[in-house]
Amino acid sequence: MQLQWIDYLIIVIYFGFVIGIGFVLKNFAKTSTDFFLSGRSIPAWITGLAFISANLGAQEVIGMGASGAKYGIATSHFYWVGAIPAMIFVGLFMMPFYYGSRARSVPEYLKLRFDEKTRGLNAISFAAMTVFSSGVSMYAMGKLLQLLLGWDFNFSVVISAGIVLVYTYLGGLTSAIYNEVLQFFLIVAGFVPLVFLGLRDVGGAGGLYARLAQVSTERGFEAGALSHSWRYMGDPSQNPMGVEAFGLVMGLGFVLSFGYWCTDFLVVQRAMAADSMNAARRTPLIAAFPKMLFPFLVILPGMLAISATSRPTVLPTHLQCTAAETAAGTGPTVQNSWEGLVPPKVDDRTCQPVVGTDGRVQVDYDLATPMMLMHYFPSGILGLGLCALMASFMSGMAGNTTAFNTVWTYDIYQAYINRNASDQHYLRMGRAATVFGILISVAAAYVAQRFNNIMDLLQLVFAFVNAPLFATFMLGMFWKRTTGHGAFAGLLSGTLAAAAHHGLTLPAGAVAGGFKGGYLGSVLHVYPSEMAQNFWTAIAAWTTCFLVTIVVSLATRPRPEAELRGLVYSLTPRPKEEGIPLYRQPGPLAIVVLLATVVLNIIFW
Amino acid sequence: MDIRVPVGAIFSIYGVLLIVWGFASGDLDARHMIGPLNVNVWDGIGMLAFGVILLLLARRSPRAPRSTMDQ
Repeated sequence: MQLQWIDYLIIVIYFGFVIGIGFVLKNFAKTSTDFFLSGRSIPAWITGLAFISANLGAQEVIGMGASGAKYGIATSHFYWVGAIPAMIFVGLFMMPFYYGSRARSVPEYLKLRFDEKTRGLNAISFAAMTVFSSGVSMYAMGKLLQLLLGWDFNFSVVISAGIVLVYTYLGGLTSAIYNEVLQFFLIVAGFVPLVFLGLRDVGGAGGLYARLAQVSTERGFEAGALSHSWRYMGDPSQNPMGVEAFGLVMGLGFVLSFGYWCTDFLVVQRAMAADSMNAARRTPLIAAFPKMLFPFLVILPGMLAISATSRPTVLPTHLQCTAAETAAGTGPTVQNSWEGLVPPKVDDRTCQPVVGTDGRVQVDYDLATPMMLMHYFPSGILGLGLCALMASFMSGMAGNTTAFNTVWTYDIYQAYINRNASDQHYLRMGRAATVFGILISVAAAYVAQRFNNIMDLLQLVFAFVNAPLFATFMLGMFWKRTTGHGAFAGLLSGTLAAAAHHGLTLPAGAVAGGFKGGYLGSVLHVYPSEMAQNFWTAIAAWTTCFLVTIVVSLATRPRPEAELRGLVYSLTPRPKEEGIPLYRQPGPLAIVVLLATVVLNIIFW
Repeated sequence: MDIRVPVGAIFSIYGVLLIVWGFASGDLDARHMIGPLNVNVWDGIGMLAFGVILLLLARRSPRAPRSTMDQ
């Protein structure tokens, strides 16, 4: 695809602004609290937008478009089940402890509530996870730009890493937050016209539903399977996700979602930067409003891509050779394997389409959203759309970087290496951590490019580590009898349970022994899909952690209650909301969010 | 620096660029047109309006983060 100078100009202006923001905010970051927590001085609407934007990385814009194309409206479960309830919970019930305890990070809360070893376990696994996911973002961006625009992979990685490095190094968290807010508005400005043009092209909502019904039957499902979120959830064989309602609600809606939104420092850090307890509690609730509408911006393009009746006039670079082959009559007839605007998967070395185990050519759903951009946007707004895409990759990376440098400096360096240095020393260490964090991420991006398997393995390990986390936090915050030994034993056994469950089960159609599971000798159960297996792995981890924590806590000595004030629900005074107008109180706000989410679930049932 | 300043500024610049470019590129393929104008112009108008509003709001009541050192 050819970009014109206007598209490049728009992208260059964006890069200029991002770096400029870093330079302006440099003078603001004078203490470590400024650098790591924005001096706790940011108003709620900004931390709220940053809260969702930090999560709006590579996975979301491209991944949710891909899922929209694959699963249809049911993808909204990742928002209306898998995010909003947990966001309400963290705002109403958990923020009083995170913000009120003056902990500077999530691992530090674990240190205050439990002990050093629980913090250490969480800090080290979290730090490793953030640098690697930042690397995966970089890799995904480099690969996408190579595919769409023919840009050199090294160039994309160096540019994106360099820009993120400059602005997070200079302005710290404030700089990251400002750019996240900018990115949020860019996504809206870039994707609203995309959805409008795409929807108009298929003939509005009616046309979209008719086409989805057609695609649905072509794939062997009932006509409504792609256009209903709940109706076909009773039986995993009836919906394209291959999950059932219980696994979905417990695995995604409870364990995974609460584990992420309530304990992941990447998002919680944004709320900790808020200027008051009230603002910190409202941060996730304000974030919930755009979050519940995001499906219309990021999932809908995927659904529109498979519904489009026209074929794109411009092809991604890796498909151009195939088109030539096809024209010459030598290549396979990949032309028949398109699903709307979504091209078949093609091996970029051999130019051959990838054939799945069922003998059919696989469709490359990851290209759904990018193909929409290329098809519906003329030069000018195309540059803006690409810019929004790059912005989402980069702010995802920046989010990981700021979370990493904070946890590294406060929870690893200050806790274990140099306990009593000056504040300026920790500020310098934070900047240094930004540099080496990004360098490790760049290395990870190249590892991902070379050895896809290692990254798959790492992500699997991280999933095992994360799955039980919410049980630890829930017991720690709401049951004062929970002890440090209990928490630590629970976390370890929860992770082991996740690995064991995964190792003893398989998703349908997979071979035992690989990263899909079944590597522990015997396969006890075969799940209808990988997603169902993941949900149940999480449920197993959570349950094990929950039970083991309780048993070990009861067997060990509790901490005196005086030490737990401000850290446990029953020993902490409720935050006062007197004198604050109703619309600024977390409680009423949460009720509105919850009602709106229920209404959306009913409309798209 | 008030966050509305950089966001307002970049949206205003993009708005102007898209409007000018949109008019200069004239009529495009039907899927790029909304009524008489192409999508660049429409999005440009929206972005310019949003950018100017942010800049005005920031001018009326500036609000910047404070360093903990200056408090």
